[in-house]
Amino acid sequence: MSISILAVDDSASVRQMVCFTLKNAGYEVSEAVDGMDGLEKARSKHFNLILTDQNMPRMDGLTLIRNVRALPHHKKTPTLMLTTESSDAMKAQGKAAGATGWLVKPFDPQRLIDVVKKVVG
Amino acid sequence: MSLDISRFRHIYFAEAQQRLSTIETLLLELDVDDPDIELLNFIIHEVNSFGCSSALFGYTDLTDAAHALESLLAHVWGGDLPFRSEMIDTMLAAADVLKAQLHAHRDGTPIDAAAVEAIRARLMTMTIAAMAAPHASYGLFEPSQAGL
Repeated sequence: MSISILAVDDSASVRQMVCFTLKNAGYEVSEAVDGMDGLEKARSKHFNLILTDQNMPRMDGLTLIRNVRALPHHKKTPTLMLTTESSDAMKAQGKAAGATGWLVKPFDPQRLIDVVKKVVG
Repeated sequence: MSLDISRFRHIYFAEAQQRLSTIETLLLELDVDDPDIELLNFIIHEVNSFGCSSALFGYTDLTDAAHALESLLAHVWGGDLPFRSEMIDTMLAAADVLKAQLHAHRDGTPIDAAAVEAIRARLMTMTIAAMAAPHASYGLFEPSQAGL
């Protein structure tokens, strides 16, 4: 069974990059345009991993992660923050929200694949 | 009341054809060594408009390929990667493919999906190179605190 990943980012180009990279690596990837869209998709479907940007309209990445954690079927789903911010404060907030880890943008495609493999195999 | 957009289809085809011609002309005007930011911005706008109107009429193959072209242009515009002559070659090739597919949609002839996907992949590969950061970093929290 394929591993399904939800990529949440308000930047269409970043979403395309993430999807292109991960699909080529054999993963099934769905897209969401912001945190709210991501939450709606996570409510209706189980994903093996959620990758999310932080700064987005309507709902940011941290809020998305907190809400996703509250969903019974996503209580233990790994979540990675794909963000331009790598400050210690941001990492602490991500950790407190329940994120599994973080990856700084702009990302190296192979690094993204490596991190995803570490998390979901 | 529903709007039947099919009656506007001929306008779309004329407009899209014009946009692609403009895009080709402007790409040829770009100076590889010192690309004009305003010119790049205008080309991006034209590609974006082409993609949006194609989506409106349901031609998502054109939209997806246009989006890949727009992404590459945007990264050049944003200074994420140095402009190279092979990029212009690829962009012109993309315009050629888009034009051929546009005509196929207009004339009801077979769509060459492989050609569209091939040019999209070429554009994406170039754009991904722009996003590759030599010092990209990541971190994983302790499994016990990460919900693993």
